[in-house]
Amino acid sequence: MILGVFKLTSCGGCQYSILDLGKSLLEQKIFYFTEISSSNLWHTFDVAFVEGSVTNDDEKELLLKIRQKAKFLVALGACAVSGGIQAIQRSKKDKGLIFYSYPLSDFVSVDLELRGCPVKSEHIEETLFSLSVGSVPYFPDYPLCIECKRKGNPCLMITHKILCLGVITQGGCGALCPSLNRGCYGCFGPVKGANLKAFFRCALRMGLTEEKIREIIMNSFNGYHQIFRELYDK
Amino acid sequence: MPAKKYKITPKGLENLFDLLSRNYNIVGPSVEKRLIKFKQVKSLDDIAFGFKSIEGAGFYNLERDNWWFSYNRPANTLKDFLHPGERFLTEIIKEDNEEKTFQVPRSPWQYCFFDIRSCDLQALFIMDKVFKKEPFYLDLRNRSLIIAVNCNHAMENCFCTITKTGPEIRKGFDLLLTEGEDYFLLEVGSKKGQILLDQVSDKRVPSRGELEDKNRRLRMLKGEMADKFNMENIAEKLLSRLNLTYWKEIEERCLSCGNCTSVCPTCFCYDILEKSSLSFAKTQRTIVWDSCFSPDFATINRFNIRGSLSSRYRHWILHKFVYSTLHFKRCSCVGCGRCITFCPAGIDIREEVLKVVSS
Amino acid sequence: MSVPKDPFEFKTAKVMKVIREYDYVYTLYLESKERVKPGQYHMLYAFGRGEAPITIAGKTRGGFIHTIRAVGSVTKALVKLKEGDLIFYRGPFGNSWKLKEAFGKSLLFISGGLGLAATRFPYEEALRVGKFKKIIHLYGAKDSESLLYRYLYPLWSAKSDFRVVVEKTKGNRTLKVGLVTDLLKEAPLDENTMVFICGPEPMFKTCLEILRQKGVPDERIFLSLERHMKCSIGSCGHCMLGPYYVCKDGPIFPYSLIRVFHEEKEL
Repeated sequence: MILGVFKLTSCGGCQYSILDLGKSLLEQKIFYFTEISSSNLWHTFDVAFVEGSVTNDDEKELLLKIRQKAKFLVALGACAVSGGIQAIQRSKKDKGLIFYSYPLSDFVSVDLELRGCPVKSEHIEETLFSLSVGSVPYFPDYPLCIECKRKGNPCLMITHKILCLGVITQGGCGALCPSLNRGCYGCFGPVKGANLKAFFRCALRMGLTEEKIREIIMNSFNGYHQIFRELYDK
Repeated sequence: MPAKKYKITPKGLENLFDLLSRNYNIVGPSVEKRLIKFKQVKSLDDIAFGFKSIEGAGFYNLERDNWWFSYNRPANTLKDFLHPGERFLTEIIKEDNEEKTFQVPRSPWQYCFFDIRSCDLQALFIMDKVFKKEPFYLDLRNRSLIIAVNCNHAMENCFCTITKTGPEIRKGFDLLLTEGEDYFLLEVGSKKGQILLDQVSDKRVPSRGELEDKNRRLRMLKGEMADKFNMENIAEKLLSRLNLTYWKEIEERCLSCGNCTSVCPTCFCYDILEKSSLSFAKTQRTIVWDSCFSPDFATINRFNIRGSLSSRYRHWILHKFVYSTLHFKRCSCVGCGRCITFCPAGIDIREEVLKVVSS
Repeated sequence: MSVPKDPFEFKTAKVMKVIREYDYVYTLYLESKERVKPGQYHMLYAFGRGEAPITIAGKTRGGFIHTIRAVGSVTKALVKLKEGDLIFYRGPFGNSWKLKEAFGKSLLFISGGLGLAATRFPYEEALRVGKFKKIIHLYGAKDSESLLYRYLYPLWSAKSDFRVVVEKTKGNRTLKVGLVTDLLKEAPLDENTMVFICGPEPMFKTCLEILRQKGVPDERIFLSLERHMKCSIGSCGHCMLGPYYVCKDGPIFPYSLIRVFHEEKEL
């Protein structure tokens, strides 16, 4: 398969998750990857991985060009999926904004979202493997709680009485943070069908104010995700 | 024939535990990370004696108390050992274009499940029916020893009296312990149990008063549990109320997180995952816990049969209280209350069932 | 106490022959001494992709037949198998069509599209056994290109009342145009006819309505259901329809048993 890896506004960490694949990468035909090569060719890509969010017109133009040239577009990481941590500026009241940050899906159709900040190498491997055998890559669409329980972690909201965003966050990270007694802060983004109304009710029960809950979500890695947009209207 | 009854001192209990540790991997309730959990233990000191858990809807706290067996059932279940959250099933290797499969070898563990309460023991009976053809489960179960314990008091979330799964334990154990003032009653339930007890030196025959004491305390225990709803004709009542607006209301509170199914001792749904490396030379099949609350659990060809949260919640309730009676001739809810304690939204299954049947 | 055989262990079968039916549909002839019953299915495994539940389409000399449509990653890999290849599989699983109960009665088979792959086995068994009053088979396909098992129609028409209809025809005047439900409306049914249906869900609904109008009771209507299956032994929970495990209690169900759960939404 012909691959292309692109970077918009981001820290660059997700590209390194691709590099973490190691030797198996050498078997792929990578035509465009400025991080590792100075000869980059525009071509029809079988798979285009795009990391980073859109923050200016140049990036928007680049994204449109990539979409046109790519058969399968993967939004790589929290920046591409939801605008990333840089999008939290929206929630700041003083509005001393430097720029706005948008996810890819605001401009083009995205074929696959790889969640995480950074993305897990295993997920990139799974994506490449599935596409190479002609099937759509499958990633868990259930909340983090199921992964936590498989590992035998008791629910931190009950035992440690701390807020854990795991109940509305997509699984796939292997419950890294709750396994170390730290509440999930949602770097994988909201799960499909996340029940925000119920989540607010749950957090209010723990003694948090509605203002505080909105702040926690809107300041998270995926605060500007489509599912959370309704919080910005208030 | 009624179970043979003995009475032992705390020294006798130590003796018994020592005997067990020589031939079995003992799994017992121990304090870890602010709660009481089943885990492999080496000595009596590892057991959570003197601790008590205070539980409520979405609430768990650990406190001290003066009984040995002050606590009730631990936070996790025997599923962790007999039907683990992640279990490696098969490995398939491709060599020279030829595929070979390797099944995972049988587990070497010989478990002694120390301190199983009535609710968990009843849950074990149900799991026995579910996995009656599964060699992994049967292998472990047939070689395991059950030391059951009668509860001393009930927690707020306990409702084994409603589901008729306790509080008194009558069968299914190798040995049964009941705590007294400064002694333990030991009842034999099987040949294996008798052989063990024969090796414990410091034992006596209990007095009639001591046996009466046990019955009296169990009667008091029954009274401690609230009678929130009753199970009479529960299957019919639920089946005739499939279309209530109540089922829609649960969507305001339930997060569909799957915590309840994970902590439930009789929820056994699972998934089989296929994991292969990019080089395509090896692939592994793994069994992992799954939940009917998972959004795409009941999908066929991209059509989701239970797409709405309310239908998934309804399915869980129906499976626990109605479908299981069709499969096992008894409801699979054992009244342990774990789903109430560990629900982040604080949903109480007793209240929910009551709301449905009383409308 | 003895421990039973591992239901997750694979068996192997050799591919004897592969026929391309049309488009993405292929029929595999597999060599095996396994005893299979009409209605049962196997979980066919593709390396690195997983398993797919495929109904056994019939018996052949030395083995059995599977008709597969390549839609997902597993089936796409299965149709690439060649003669002499080895295939890993599990099974047979599921229950079977109750042909014995219908001895002396008339049989009506209704097949929609690829559903013919599921009804082929009981149909051919019924023709072979010959203990039925009358056998009618109604088959509806999308168009003339999608007609399955065309090479068997002369034999089937000689031994029973076999009627074919297509939704669209590209100029072929010999084929009747319409839906299988049109055929059903005209089909002659007597008081004891047992009905076996397999096809897409919308077809079930219309057929059931017409059969009800014709006075056929739910106990004599049997459906072959399709569900997402993982374990196939009735424990993982993915295939449940109400209380029934389609993998183990089915996939063949008398409609009287599942009516409540089939008609109620999202059970």
